[in-house]
Amino acid sequence: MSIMRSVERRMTRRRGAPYVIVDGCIECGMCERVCPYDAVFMANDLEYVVDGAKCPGCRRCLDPCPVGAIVPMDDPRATGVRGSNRPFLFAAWQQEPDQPDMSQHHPVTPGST
Amino acid sequence: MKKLMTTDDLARDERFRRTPVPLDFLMAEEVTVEQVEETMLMLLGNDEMRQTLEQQSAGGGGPNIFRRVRPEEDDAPVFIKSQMHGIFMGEMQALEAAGRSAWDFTDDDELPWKFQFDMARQCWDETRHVETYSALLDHVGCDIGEFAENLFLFEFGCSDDPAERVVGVNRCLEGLALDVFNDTIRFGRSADDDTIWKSVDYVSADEVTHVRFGQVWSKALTADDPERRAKIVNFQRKVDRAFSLGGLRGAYDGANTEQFLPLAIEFRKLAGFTDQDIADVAGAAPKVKGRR
Repeated sequence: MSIMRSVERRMTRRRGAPYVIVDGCIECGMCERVCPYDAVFMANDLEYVVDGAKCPGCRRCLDPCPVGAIVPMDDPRATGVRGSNRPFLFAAWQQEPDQPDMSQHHPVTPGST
Repeated sequence: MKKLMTTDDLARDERFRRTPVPLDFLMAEEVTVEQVEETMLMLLGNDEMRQTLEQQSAGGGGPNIFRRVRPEEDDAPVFIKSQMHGIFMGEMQALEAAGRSAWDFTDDDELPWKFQFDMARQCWDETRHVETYSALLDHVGCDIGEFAENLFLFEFGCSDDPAERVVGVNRCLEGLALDVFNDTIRFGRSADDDTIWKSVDYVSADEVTHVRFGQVWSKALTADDPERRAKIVNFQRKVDRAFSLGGLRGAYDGANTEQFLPLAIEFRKLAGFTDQDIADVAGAAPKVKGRR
């Protein structure tokens, strides 16, 4: 496998959905302050955006956002991604085709392992 | 099989409770004592602990969450339960993070097989640790869910760069575990509780190995790439700051016997930390304003 191929696979398969900033953001900057991966920054001194290529989808920014304006790319609300964030979308990201449905967690019970 | 597990995907049943960490706090360059106290109560506390601290507060001087708790003190039982519960949750997240590291990079031809081997070894260790701490929770009379779980440990281990991943999970998360274990061993010894100190001591031997994985792999994977190395060091600095818990963790002096959770310098040196690495961790803490 070429290095490029390897990098491409790394970038598309080892991460959750990158986050995007949608309409309604109040530019409070909380998401930038809490991101450990330097994925959030202010573009053109005007609006915060998420660099999708850097965002591993850890969801650390989700709870702090006071207005719910930062959402994962695979969330229906991501269609409202604002214009300033569009150049930074990580188009190469895709879900694994064989991802299981994680909506039903297997309960962990003592002695079950 | 799914590669990335976000925090929403982690398997927990109805016994577990989660609490977010006030985020300004973890990444700030300067924090106040009040922020630290409020956050640590949110992270570590339950109603019993809050009542205890409020009683201390009523005696004047405010709740002293910065001090080392001794077995003979009235509030020792609730503090050791909180500490055990925190470690138990940390072991769960370490298992989940190591499992991800073992699986997420299986298609990466740049990584030697030894990397997966080390991560798999860590998973094996962490499963035993979860069992051990489950038993220790019983030993101190604490139920799962008696304290809340927070997920910031796991969140710092989500990078898709294996070098950054081992910095988050191995060097920093497991490094914090060494400090906590060191503290717990000391508590167990002074309480003359062989079950606590011997169990935690056994587990610590594994943790030293896990931290060493982080030290070795983060350097090996970036040895020929100064740009990537700089990015990793920058990330490392951020995680060290976050894991300093707002500068709460004492004077970062291994000989310190009074303050809460100083760095376990001997353990860290066994894990490959140099004096400079230790100084880096110590220097990453934010300034705490108004410290009593």
